[in-house]
Amino acid sequence: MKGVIFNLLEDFITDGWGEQAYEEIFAQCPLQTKEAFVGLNSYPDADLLTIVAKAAAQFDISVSDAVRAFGKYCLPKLVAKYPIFVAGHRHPKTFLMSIDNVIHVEVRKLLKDAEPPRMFFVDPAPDQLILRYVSKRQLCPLVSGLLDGTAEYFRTPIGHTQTQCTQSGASACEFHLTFENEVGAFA
Amino acid sequence: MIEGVLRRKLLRMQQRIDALETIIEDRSREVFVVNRRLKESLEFLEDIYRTMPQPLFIIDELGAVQSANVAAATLLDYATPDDLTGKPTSAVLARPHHLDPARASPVGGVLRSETTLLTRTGGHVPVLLSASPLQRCDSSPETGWVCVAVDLRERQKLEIELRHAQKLESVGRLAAGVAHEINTPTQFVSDSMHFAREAVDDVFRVLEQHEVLRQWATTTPSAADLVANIANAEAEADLPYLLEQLPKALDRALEGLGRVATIVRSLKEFAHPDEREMTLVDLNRVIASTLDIARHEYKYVAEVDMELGELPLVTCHAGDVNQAVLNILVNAAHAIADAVKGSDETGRITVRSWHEGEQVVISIQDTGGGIPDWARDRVFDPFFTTKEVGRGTGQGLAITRAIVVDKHRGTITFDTRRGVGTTFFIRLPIAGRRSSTRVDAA
Repeated sequence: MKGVIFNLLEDFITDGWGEQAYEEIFAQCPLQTKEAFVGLNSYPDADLLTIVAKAAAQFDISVSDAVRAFGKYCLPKLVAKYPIFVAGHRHPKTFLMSIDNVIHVEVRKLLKDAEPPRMFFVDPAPDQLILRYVSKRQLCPLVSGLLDGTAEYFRTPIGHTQTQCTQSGASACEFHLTFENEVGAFA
Repeated sequence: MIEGVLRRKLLRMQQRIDALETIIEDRSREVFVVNRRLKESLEFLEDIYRTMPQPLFIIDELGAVQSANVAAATLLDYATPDDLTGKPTSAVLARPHHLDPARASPVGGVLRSETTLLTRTGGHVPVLLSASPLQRCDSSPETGWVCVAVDLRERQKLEIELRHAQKLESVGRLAAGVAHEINTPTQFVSDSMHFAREAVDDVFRVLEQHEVLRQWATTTPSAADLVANIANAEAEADLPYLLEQLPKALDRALEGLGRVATIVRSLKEFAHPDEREMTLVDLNRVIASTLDIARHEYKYVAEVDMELGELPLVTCHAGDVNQAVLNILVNAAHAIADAVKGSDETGRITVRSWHEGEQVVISIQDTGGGIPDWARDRVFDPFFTTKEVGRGTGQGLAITRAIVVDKHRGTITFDTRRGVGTTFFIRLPIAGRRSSTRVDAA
């Protein structure tokens, strides 16, 4: 996992629960990484999950909810950091469909050793989308959170239901999305 | 408490800064190395581009020359490659529609065609042009072309020399037959002339007696003896026979001389180098003269029927058409010779001509063994032959095809059936290549 995600996680906890809370959580985590997380470097996925699990326990919420909330938090932060990736989009559907072909391609170019997930889409209707998420990290709650954040950013409610999950033996995590406004409704 | 939190955070920040400095240094080194490799690659490619002997130029999506190498500039008579840059395609290509994406249909991504490039001074250079579509980036629908040209002038010169060499080879091959053909009439011309020479002596002797009689008759009343002498002389000379045979002998001699003259004229027409420009030609005469000089090739194995229709004059290179007909005729004779080998039978060659729309057609039908299935796709390939070593060079039909298709924009096709024979059809545009569209041989 890239350091930028660790830094966002630190911001997420700090913004929500304060510097001291993060320091306490961080101090209690038996991490493989001993140095500070730097955005461009890669770190073990297990370290991220350790911090999330410790934070979830600290704030008495499930890990899944914690990851989803973190995903929702990340979206506007990433948009602020890389505004070019949303600049051409007026609807969340077109933005989501550009993630795998555009955003993740650029991520691989900019960040050495980056292993972004694969996302595949089926477009059954103008106001619907089927998203298939494939990642060895199995962070489908993070995808849910990012969808929440996307809906909020574009001010377009997105109803999303996860219909299958790799943790239940499926080959991919699948989300059925419904948009309140069709693409082009804003035009 | 807060101070401790801030100190730890500050420490992490310092560590991040140190790590980022290291990353920046590493990346800077990588960028330097990559830039150097990129520069070396660029220089390498520029060297190849500059020094490659083949003319190469790039046409941009707007149809202008974007860049060219030295060989292209030299070929097209420009001082430097930069002088070519920006020229429209129409200033470089005689037929710029060859690179029109809407009309061109590249095979396997590459468009290949024999075309003509234009020099700075308006000269024409025949080339084989290979053009590959060039898409600047994935998202751009507009396409340019990378064009590589091969100068065909030397090849065309060699082709002309090869055709002439094959013609001379044919003349050499036919020489023995032609000599035989000339020998036969020469023989009976000679016999007739010997006869005439002796007959003239006999007639002179009779005339001498007539002269004696004429002189004596002026002074002597009785001439019985002299009349008897004349009768003897006429009997000895067999004057009635001489009077009957002498004109025939002279006619035979004249006929023989006519045949010799025909053969010599045909051979002369055949061996004569072609005019640079096409001329109006009576193709039936071309066919007849070819049959004359090739007679020795077929006369022992086949009867020849000529069914020549009324033809308009055709704009063509007569010597080349002569050559094309001869090549097929010789093949027909060889095919029949193989088919009747070991028997007393002879085959038949039927040569026809007719007028068909904007074309004239010459067909040459033989009763040989036909072309085997496996050879049908290859008969027009250079150096391909089914004949035994020493009997065929494999150039005949290749050159025939080049003459008919490439040089005259005509077509050459054939029908063949095993055990029945083969018919070749040569179709030539009446108005010559300029007014015709190209149709490849079947």
